[in-house]
Amino acid sequence: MYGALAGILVSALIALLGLRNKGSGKPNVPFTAAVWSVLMPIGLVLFAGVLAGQIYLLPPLLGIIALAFPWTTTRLVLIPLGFPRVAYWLTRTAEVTFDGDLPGGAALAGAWAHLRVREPNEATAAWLEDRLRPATVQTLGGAGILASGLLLAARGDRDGARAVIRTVTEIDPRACPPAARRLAAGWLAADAASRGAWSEVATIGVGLGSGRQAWLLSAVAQSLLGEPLAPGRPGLWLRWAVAPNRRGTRAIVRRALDVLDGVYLEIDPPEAAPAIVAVVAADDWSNALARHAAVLTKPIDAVEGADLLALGRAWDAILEDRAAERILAERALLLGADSSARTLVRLREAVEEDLTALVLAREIGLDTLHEGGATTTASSPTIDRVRRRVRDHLLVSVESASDALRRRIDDKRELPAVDEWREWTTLRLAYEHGVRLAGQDFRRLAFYKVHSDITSLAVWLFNDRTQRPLGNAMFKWLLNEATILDDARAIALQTKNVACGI
Amino acid sequence: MTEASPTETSAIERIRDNPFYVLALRPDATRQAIERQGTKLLGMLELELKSAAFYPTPVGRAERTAEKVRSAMAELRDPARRLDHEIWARLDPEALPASDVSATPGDDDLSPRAPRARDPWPEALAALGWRSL
Repeated sequence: MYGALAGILVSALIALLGLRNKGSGKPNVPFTAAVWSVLMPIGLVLFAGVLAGQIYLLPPLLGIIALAFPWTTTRLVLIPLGFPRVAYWLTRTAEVTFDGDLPGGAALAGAWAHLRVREPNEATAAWLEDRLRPATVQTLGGAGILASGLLLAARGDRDGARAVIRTVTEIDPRACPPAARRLAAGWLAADAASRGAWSEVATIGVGLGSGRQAWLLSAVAQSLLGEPLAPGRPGLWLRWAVAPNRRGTRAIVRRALDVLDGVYLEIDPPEAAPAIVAVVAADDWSNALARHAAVLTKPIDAVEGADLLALGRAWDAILEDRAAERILAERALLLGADSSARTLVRLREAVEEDLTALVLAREIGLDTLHEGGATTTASSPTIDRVRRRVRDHLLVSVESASDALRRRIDDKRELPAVDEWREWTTLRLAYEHGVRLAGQDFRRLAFYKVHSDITSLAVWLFNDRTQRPLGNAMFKWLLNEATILDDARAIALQTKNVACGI
Repeated sequence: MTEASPTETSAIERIRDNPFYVLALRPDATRQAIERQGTKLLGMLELELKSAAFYPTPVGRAERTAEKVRSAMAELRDPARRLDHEIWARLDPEALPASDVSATPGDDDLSPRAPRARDPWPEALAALGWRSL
C-alpha cells in the first residue's frame, strides 16, 4: 500500500521533470516513470519478503534496483567490472541522468566500461562505435562526443581523445547532460595530471560544478603549484572525502599535503643548464655542427628559442659566407664532384628542415625566435627562412584540411556525425596549433580561409542533418575567433547564427 | 626524454649514420683508406669482435653492422655524395662526447633523483577509474 503510494508520488515528480524537458532530440522519462510507478512498489514488497527470509526474492529485487538507479548501478558495478555491453543497455534507461543525450550517455557508459577491461576487445569497440552512428544516434550531443573520445583513448590515441573530449563543454547545455560535462572534466584533469600539466589541472576543476574528481585534482594542483589561494589541509581532505576513488587518490593528496608541510623545499625545478654547455669549437664549421648535434640530443623540453637562434647564427656564419662556397668548390674539384653549389643547397635545405622540425615538434613560438625575443639583436637569415618555413607548414596544414572539408561539402558526401566532429576537431587543432606557434598574423590569415568552409559545414549540419548542437558549437567558435580578430562582418554573421540556438 | 618526431629522428640519423663515422674515418681520408678500413671492419664484424660493434658519433654511440659498413663504402665512392657527407662529418666524434652534449639535469642520469612536487602522476587515469589498474 505504502509502496504503491510512494511509487505514485515519485512518478508524479518524474512527470513534472519530463514537462520541464522539452526540446529537439530530448527524451522525456517514460521508462523511468514506469519503473518507479510499477516496479518500485513490487520491489518494496520483494524487499519485505527478503527481510522475512525469502532469499530467492533477492535476484528480482536487485534487478528492480538496477532499473530504478541505472546510472548508479552502472557506475558502481558494471563499469568497474568491465561490462561494456551491459553498461550500455542499462544506461539506455538512465533517462534522468542523460536527459538530452541518452544514446550518447549509453555509449559513454559502454566506452568507459570498455576502458576498464584488462584486455580490450576490438569487436566491442566497433560495436560501441556503431552505437554512435546515425542508426542509433539521431543527434549527437555532449555525452556521445565524450564516448567517442573515450573510445579513442581505449585505442591508445590519447592526443586524439584529449582533443575530442576538450570540446564536450562547448556543446550547448541542452544537448550536453551535466553528467557528461563532469565526466569530461574528470578525464581531462586526470589526463593532465598524468602528464604533469598541473597548471592545466588547476584550471579544469575550479568549482564543484566541474565534478568531484576535477574539483579534488584542482585543489591538489593548486597546492603542488604553491598557489596562495590553494585550499588548506581541511579543504583537501574534504574534497578527497567527497570524491570517488578515495583509495586511488590518497597518494596524490598526501603529496599535496607534503607540499603544504614544506617537505618539498624546492618547488621550482632547478634552472636548466645553459643551452650549449660543451660546445668548444675551433672553427665556424665545427661550431655549427657541434651546436646542431647538441640541440638534436637535448631533452625535448629543454630546447628553447634562444638555442635555435644561436644555432641559426652559427649556420649563418657558414651559409652566408662566400668563403664556405670557395672551400666546398675546391674540395669538389679535388674529389671530382660535378658541382659544389648543389651540395651547399642541400646543406641549407637539411639545416632548415632540421630546425623547422625542431620548432614544430617542440612547439617553440615563432616570437621567441624573433629578434625582439632574443637577448642579442643581430639578425639571422637562417632563422628567418626557418620561420617562413614553419609558417608555411602551419598554413598548409590548415588550408589542406579546410580544402578537404570544402570539397566534401560541395560533393555532399556525408560522414556520420561523430566523424564530422572528429574532422572538425582535427582542423581546429591545426588552426590552434598554428596560432600558438605563429601568433596573430597566422590567426588572421588562417581565419580568412577557414571561416567560409567551417560556416558551410556548420550550416549543413544545422539545417539539413539534424545535428544542430554541433552546428551551434561551430558557430560559437567562429564567433569567438571573429571577435578576437575584430572582423565585423564575421561577427555579424556568426552572432545571427548563434542566435538560432539548437 | 619525450619521444622525438620522425623528422628529428632522421636529422639525428644523418649524423649518426654518416659513413665517415660508421667507418671511423675523418673526412680527409683517401679512397684507398676508405676501402681498406671498410674491408677491415667487415672482417672484424664477421669475427664478432666487440671493438668493432659500436662507434662514437657526436650524437651518441651507435651500433655498427656489416650492412651499414657496406652502405657507407658505397656512399663514399660517389664524389658528390661524399662531399655531402664530409660536411656533416667535420665534427670529431671524440671531441664532443654525447654525454656532454646532452648534459642536462635529469637526462641520461641513471641515479635516482629526489621526487619533486610537480612531477607527473602517471597513474592518475587508473587511480581515478579511467582505465584498468
